[in-house]
Amino acid sequence: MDKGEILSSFQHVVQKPLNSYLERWVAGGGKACGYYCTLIPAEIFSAAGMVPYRMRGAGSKDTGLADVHMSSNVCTFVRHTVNLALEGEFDFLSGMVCMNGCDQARRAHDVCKQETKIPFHAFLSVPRASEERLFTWYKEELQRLIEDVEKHFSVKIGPQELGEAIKLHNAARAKLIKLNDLRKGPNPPISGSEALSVTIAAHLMPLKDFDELAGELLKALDGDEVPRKYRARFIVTGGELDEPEFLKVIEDQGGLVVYEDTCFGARFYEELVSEDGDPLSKIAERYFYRVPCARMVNSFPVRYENVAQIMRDFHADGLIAQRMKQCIINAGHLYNFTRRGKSNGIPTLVLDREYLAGGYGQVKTRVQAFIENIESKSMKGAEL
Amino acid sequence: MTVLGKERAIELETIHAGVSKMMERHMGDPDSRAFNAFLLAAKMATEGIIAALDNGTSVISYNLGGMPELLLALGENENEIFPFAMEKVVALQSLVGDPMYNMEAIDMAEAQGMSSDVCSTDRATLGNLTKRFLPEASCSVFVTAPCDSQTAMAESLKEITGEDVFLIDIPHHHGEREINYVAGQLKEEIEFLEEKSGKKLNWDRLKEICQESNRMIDQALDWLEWRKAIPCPQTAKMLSTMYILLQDGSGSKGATWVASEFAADAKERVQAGKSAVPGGEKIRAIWFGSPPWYNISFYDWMENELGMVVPVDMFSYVVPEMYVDTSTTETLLHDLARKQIYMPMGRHFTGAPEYFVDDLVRAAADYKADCALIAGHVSCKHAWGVLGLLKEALREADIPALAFEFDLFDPRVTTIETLQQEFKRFAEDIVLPRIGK
Repeated sequence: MDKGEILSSFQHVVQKPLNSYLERWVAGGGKACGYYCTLIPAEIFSAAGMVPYRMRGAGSKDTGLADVHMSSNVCTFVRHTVNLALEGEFDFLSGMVCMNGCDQARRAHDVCKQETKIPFHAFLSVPRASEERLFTWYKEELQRLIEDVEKHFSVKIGPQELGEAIKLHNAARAKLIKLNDLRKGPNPPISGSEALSVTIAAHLMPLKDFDELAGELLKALDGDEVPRKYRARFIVTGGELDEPEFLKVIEDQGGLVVYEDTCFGARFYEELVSEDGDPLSKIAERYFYRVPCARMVNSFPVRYENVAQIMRDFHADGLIAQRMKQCIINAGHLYNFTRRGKSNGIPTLVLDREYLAGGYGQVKTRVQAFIENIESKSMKGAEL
Repeated sequence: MTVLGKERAIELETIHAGVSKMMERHMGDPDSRAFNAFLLAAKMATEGIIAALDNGTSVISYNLGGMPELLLALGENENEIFPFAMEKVVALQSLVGDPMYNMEAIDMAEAQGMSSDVCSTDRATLGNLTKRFLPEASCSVFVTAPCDSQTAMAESLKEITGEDVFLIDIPHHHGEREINYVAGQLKEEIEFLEEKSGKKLNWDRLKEICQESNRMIDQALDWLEWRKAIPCPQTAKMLSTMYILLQDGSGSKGATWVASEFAADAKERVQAGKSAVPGGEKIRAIWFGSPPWYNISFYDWMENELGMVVPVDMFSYVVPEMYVDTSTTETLLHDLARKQIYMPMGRHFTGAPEYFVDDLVRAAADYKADCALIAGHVSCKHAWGVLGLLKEALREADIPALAFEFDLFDPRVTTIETLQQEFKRFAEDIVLPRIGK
């Protein structure tokens, strides 16, 4: 397959709740377990012989059923995922694991547990700070999840199974890191929206299939430097972002997205799990101590330093901080990004958006203005 | 205008003038005994803030879901630390001052980039912090209850003030394992506080403070018992102020006195056969969710126009799990952790849906309610997210419910007139025909 065909395969995977790879897996008797947040280690599901499947709302047409349970005061990402679940679109899942990622997502667990046919439900209470004093609790929560999964599915999840799962996930992560590194150069062989499709696909398909396809993509991209015309390079930060179309809108205005500091983006693959030592401890350490997201208190300085470093590494001209409307968790960090943007010279655009909103009229206007602003300040000539 | 001999920030002057005027107006009214006690507490709280500013007392702030007991016990002597419940300024401004200043603070926070989705309590506090008229704290303690806005607020506060923030993580479930987890964090909080304040925690005083807290819980539970009477003896107006007493006053003699006034007034009125509604109550309702603090006289309207009384609401729903066994340091920490988890609002909003749903259904049964009022503060995403399950549970229990949207502090979201129309329709078309009145 050539680059276009491989990317098309990934793009196909991310369009609907059930993709052809997963459909084949389930038809063959395989199990898949849904999960809701990047702080839930997917390795545990792989160790149980299941495909980890990240809950999302792609393919949802409306939120009517979810609105009955949740009202329009809940974010559209959660309502679309719940709507799909209530429509039975996730009935192929053997289980669903949620956590207190935010007030809205944890209610998705409550509704789905009571109102869907998904047979297994579990919940993790994850501490709100990546501080050592709270680590033991997090690890205990993982151990309890393992015991619940073992009991329900009659499987064993011991050090050997976890060790193998770590290798499987690290292999996928390593490929995504390699792919992402290609975006550092002046002419990345892959656009932001294409890269995000690949990363999202890794959340949704059997990892062996992903690994194979991602390997082919890397081969196809080797030495493939496409001369690109863009006016500004962007890092996109924020919470949930699993819509490649959103990045395409930015890129259609002359921007090039070179890094996604988001839940479905780099937060999925940055930092491998150590393969030395007790596997559960290493998994817990990787998830708990990596660069924290906005749900963690005392996290912004580390997060900001990380973003600033990425800006340098990827030669970015600006930061686009995006947030789903109603997302309170990310409002705190976006407020801080706004403040720092005013004082530190990193051009920052804060965007609120709705999930699956299409159109993006206002986004286009604001991105255009942002690009013009960057150009006028840097005196960098527009090439488009 | 001067307050305690000095010119003050207009926001503090307004609160002080407002509460002083209300006290003058209500003091002689025998029907206002309980509310007057709250007014006195509000005045003392305002003067406490002013005294902290004047005296340069060391300040440690804490958030909406927190409690003051550990902070009060820092140092050899009383009052070495001023525990500052930051959001109380917003509450006082709404209840006894001028809500316009809250709107101004909200607008300021939004203009600086804070999303309007975040709770107005926190947006207004952020605005107040930016205006710089509040006492400056050396550090803060943040509890993750009751909601995500606390996280957003903690992160923003730290960015504005540079204060160190200690986090108390409240888990999703509320069992013994979780209580022990929080108790462990309280131990760590003590180390943090001692280091930041340079003052040791005085365990003997902590014991006395918790004994005082227990006396307040005694009074609060007694008060709630009297409020079960039919007719309901007191107006709904002071119900939600119990949360301010718990959050700001626990462990202080003043707060215990206010709670005892609440209880004594309720008892006296029950024994005299007095009703909250002069014309006789027609509907008993449980108010679950945030109160309409942007216009607390809405309760007067409910009582006078609809004959609708509220014997208990979420903010006042004190439970025996909030008692603290003071016999050892271990029991103190264990039970303070349990109290923290079981604080009203926090226990309802932080955690599994049953803590929210079951409490409402139980309250409706215990207080012989005819209906439920699901008060949907726009930022309470946890409550909106469980609305369907709550309605199902109420349907099963045959309790009619009105779910309505408003903002606790911001009158621009839903006007009082709109609320009145919704309530009138609900009362006249749904509730009264069901109960045959």
